[in-house]
Amino acid sequence: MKNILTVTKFTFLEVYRSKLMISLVFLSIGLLGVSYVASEFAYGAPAKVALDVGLGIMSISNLIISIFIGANLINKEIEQRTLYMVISKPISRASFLMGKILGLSSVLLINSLVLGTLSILIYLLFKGTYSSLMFWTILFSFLEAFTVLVFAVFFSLITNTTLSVIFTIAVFIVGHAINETSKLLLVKVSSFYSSLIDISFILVPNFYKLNLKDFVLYQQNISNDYLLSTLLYLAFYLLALLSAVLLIFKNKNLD
Amino acid sequence: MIEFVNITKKFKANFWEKDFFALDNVSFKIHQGDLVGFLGANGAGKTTLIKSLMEFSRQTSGEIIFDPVLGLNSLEIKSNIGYLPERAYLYQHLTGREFLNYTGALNNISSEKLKNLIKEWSEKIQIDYALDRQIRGYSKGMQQRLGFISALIHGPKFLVLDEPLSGLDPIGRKEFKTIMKELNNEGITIFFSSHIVSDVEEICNKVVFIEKGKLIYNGSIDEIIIKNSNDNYTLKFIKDDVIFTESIKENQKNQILSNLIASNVSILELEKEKPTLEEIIYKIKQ
Repeated sequence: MKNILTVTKFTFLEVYRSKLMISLVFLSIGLLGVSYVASEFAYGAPAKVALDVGLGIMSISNLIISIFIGANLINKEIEQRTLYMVISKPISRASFLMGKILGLSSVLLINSLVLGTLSILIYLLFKGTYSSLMFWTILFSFLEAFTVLVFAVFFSLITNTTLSVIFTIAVFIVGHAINETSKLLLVKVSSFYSSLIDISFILVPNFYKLNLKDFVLYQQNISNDYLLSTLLYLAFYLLALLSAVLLIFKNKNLD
Repeated sequence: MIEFVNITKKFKANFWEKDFFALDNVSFKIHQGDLVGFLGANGAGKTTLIKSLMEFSRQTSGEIIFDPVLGLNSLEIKSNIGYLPERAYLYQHLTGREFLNYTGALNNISSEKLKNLIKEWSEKIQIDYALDRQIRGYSKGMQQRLGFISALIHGPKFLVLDEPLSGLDPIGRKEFKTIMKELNNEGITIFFSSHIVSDVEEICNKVVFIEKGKLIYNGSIDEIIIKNSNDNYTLKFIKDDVIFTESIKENQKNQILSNLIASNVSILELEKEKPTLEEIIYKIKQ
């Protein structure tokens, strides 16, 4: 565990010092500007638009970080041979990989907290009403990005960087579309399509479950059971995915 | 200390292509206290063998046996090994000190002890002045120095250095070689790869030479030199203000010397002829 935290700490430092954090500052300033401009155009509902735009920017920036930095997280280490200096020390490959993933996740967490909090503050500034669901929206957005990050790492271990970016984006799109697709009449009447959807539900995470933005914007209630069952679903999904990633990395030839 | 048994590593770019043997049945032993030079041209298979040794990639067949003195499992063994990769690229946004803290922490060195070790080694390797700068501002030689400290800061029993002298200026090369000799005198076993024969000849007592993945020679440097030496001597003398150099046979040596002394010729040097390791390696390759 100590080794995982050591790798996490220095991975965070390495990413934090790269241009990513400067991008976050610019993104925050941009978010303030865009939210203000958008709310000016939104007649009657400036607070709602400000929150919608803010949370949208948070999700997109989280995804960009997870997909593009996640796909390079290990491949870059192999190409630049930096990992040889680390895994030659008494640390297991699993601990190293977990540390790398958690290091980048801490960057995602900061990104979610900074942009999420900023969005809520702008929303409240426009006289919006606070709801505890906002916290859940930020948490779920972070968890969605974390899952995408693990997928990016997974694909980067079995393909090259470009393909892993493409495959991860595909998983993200399918993960969001699968829920609504399953409700189509075409799927319901065809056993082939419904089997395909059933398989997809197992292989691809149902990101639709994590999207709470509409509930926040339209002040709809959502049960605690739904929130907890979604958390549990994601926890099991991540456990399986992380196990597969660690197993692949453990047996990978780092030539 | 470490035994390589029939190590073979095959690569295949595409399934329709023939196997490429990066290592072909390589077997040799490294004994405790040895300073072994691992020689071979570029692409001979040196780094591939080191990657197998460090468990970065698996050999196609064969076995690497570690002496229990290094440890009984992979993590224990790694805690007793120091490794410096070829052209060490380090985390560019960390400072030198942070990098050493990182790798030192992974070696379970307490922070107080680590602080002292970093001070001691960075002064010895002469990189102390740059420790608080980000590594991206380091030259290749400076990164090599930092990597070298990282490889030996935890006091390993066995050092594996992949081309440690590449990228260093002449003074740096001299310093590294001196430190490697000192460490070896302290009892650390060193295995270092190089394609520069003179470096190996200068500091090593043993040499392993591979060519196109095959082991060509494994043994003592003195032994290979004696084996490839002839019985001739080189004689240097001055006669009529001119320096003469002649190669003479062992059985003629005393007679020729007596004659020269009798004729009042000044003898400058008499030395047994022996080829350099580089000449021998070249001969073997031919």
